[in-house]
Amino acid sequence: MKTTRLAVSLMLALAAAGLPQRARAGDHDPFIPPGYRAMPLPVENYELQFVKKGDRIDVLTTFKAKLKGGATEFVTATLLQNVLVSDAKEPVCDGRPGAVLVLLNPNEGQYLTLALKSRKIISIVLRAKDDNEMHPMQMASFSKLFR
Amino acid sequence: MRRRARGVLLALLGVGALLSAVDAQGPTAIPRGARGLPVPLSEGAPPALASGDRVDVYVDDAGLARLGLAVADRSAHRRLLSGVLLVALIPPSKKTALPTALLALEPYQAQDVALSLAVGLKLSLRPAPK
Repeated sequence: MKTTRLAVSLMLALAAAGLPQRARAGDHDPFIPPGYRAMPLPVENYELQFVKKGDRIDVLTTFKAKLKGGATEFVTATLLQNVLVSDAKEPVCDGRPGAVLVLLNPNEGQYLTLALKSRKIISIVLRAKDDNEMHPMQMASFSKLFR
Repeated sequence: MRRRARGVLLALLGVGALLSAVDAQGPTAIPRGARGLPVPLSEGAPPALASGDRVDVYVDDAGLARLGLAVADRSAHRRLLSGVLLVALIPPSKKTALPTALLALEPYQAQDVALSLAVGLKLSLRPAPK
């Protein structure tokens, strides 16, 4: 009898220890570090399947760039690197994109807003755990890819 | 009595350790320095392909032709990448009509594949030759 009581008390204590974390996970007012901004980023459902809260991602953008001769070409650039995902939300109804909530500094927030408002195509890539390195990246284009 | 309590405690700790181990082996075990790019597979996933396998990534020639990037043999598929690590493969579900692969790519390769997907090219996977 005493053992059962002890086990139940222990389980309750363990559950209570995990409560604050769970409350944060379901909170609609996510923790935003000072100096950062939380911004929702729409993502395709197939992308959303692999992303979860706490992941770090890079944000890529694809757009039509004007070449020197006046011609245009699709290019992809890495817009943001090592961005923390604060939350991931599935679409509210079928056929709509889901969203990830990303934490950005104000400058990054402006760049992402610019890309979203000018209807650039946005893609996300996941980083390995603890991989925080950032490098300058050359843009990708089909003229480089298929020579 | 104390022994039983200790047993219960050890069992609980064991379950906790097991749960955290399962979480650590999730589908996003991307090698350091690589980028995990989710790719919808329009032609379905090749049979017997599993997480950890190496794959070649192909792009459809009809799509290339549409973009003015046609190759001589239209029936062939242009190989975009070789020997890429397949991190995870998710079958079609209510959420997505197509199977989705998570590929571990070099950052510049991730840009190339993202560009291909963004312009509507269809990608397919084939097991890489061993």
